[in-house]
Amino acid sequence: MPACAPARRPASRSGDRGLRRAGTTIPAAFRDLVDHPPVAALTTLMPDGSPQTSVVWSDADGDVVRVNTMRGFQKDRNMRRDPRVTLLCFDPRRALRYLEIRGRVIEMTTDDAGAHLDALASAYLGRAVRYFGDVIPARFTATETPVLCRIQPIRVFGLDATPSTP
Amino acid sequence: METQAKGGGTLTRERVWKALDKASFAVLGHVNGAGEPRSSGVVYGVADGSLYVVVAADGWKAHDLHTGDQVAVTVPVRRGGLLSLLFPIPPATISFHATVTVHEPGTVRAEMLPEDLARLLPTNPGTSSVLLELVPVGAFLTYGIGVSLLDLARPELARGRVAC
Repeated sequence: MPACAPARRPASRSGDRGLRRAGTTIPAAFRDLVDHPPVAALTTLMPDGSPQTSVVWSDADGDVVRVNTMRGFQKDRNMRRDPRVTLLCFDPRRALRYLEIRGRVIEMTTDDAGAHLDALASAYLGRAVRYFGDVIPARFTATETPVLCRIQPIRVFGLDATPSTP
Repeated sequence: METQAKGGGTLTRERVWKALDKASFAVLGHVNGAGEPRSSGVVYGVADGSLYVVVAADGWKAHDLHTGDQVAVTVPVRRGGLLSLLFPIPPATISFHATVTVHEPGTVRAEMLPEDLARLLPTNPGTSSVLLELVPVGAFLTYGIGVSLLDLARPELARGRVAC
């Protein structure tokens, strides 16, 4: 253990405690975290088996979770090679309440991927936008191809360690 | 080491560490013994160029992680203050890979740690915990760090990269 300089701000206890829900479907109590989670972190597997995590926009169609990426991005290549993924959905304002969705990518398609990306961008930015043109320059349509990825949950864990109000 | 953020701001390693120091919650992506990806939320403390996380000794993370393993870390950084309550402002994030050192139960006592890190340790006498030390490697990939709030919603401007 190296000599440590004090951290600037106290950190509270680990989030390993609290209300846990486990199952194969998305629990109703955590549904809000799946529809348009403020932050969703997708972990995929690199060719050497190490994890790669990136923040994604996501939503759900029933119990199938959908994320969008661009063809050729690292997570796109990772999911095509190994469909095992995990998605952590949470709200930074209540970070100790989160949902982990472990699953498999069951489909990666360019069909309707652009419309899905526009819908995600509109939901996340709070107004109707087109991803290409309003979020990033329209010229990127020439070089970037959206890919809609559907993830079938296999195991879902919800944790709520938010301190209860007195 | 610094890079020019595409949005016009300056992204430096020091700026990233300052943001990491102010935050306290991270997404920890790792791989279990079967080679499957796992992710969880953790509360961390920062000291001396490392992030420290306390996990239950009988929990998944303590079971899955070993010294020398590589993990993927993503830290959300709140920006916008009160404005973020009124308008949808995308969260800023810092993502990086880190190498793990596992400090086994009994090897770390609260009195060995700075007060702020010691608070991560459980006070329950019957609770056994493991201290994970995460040392960032490679580069910090950032979103929305060192750019204006307006540029947060423009991915091509909000993305940045700086060596750890």
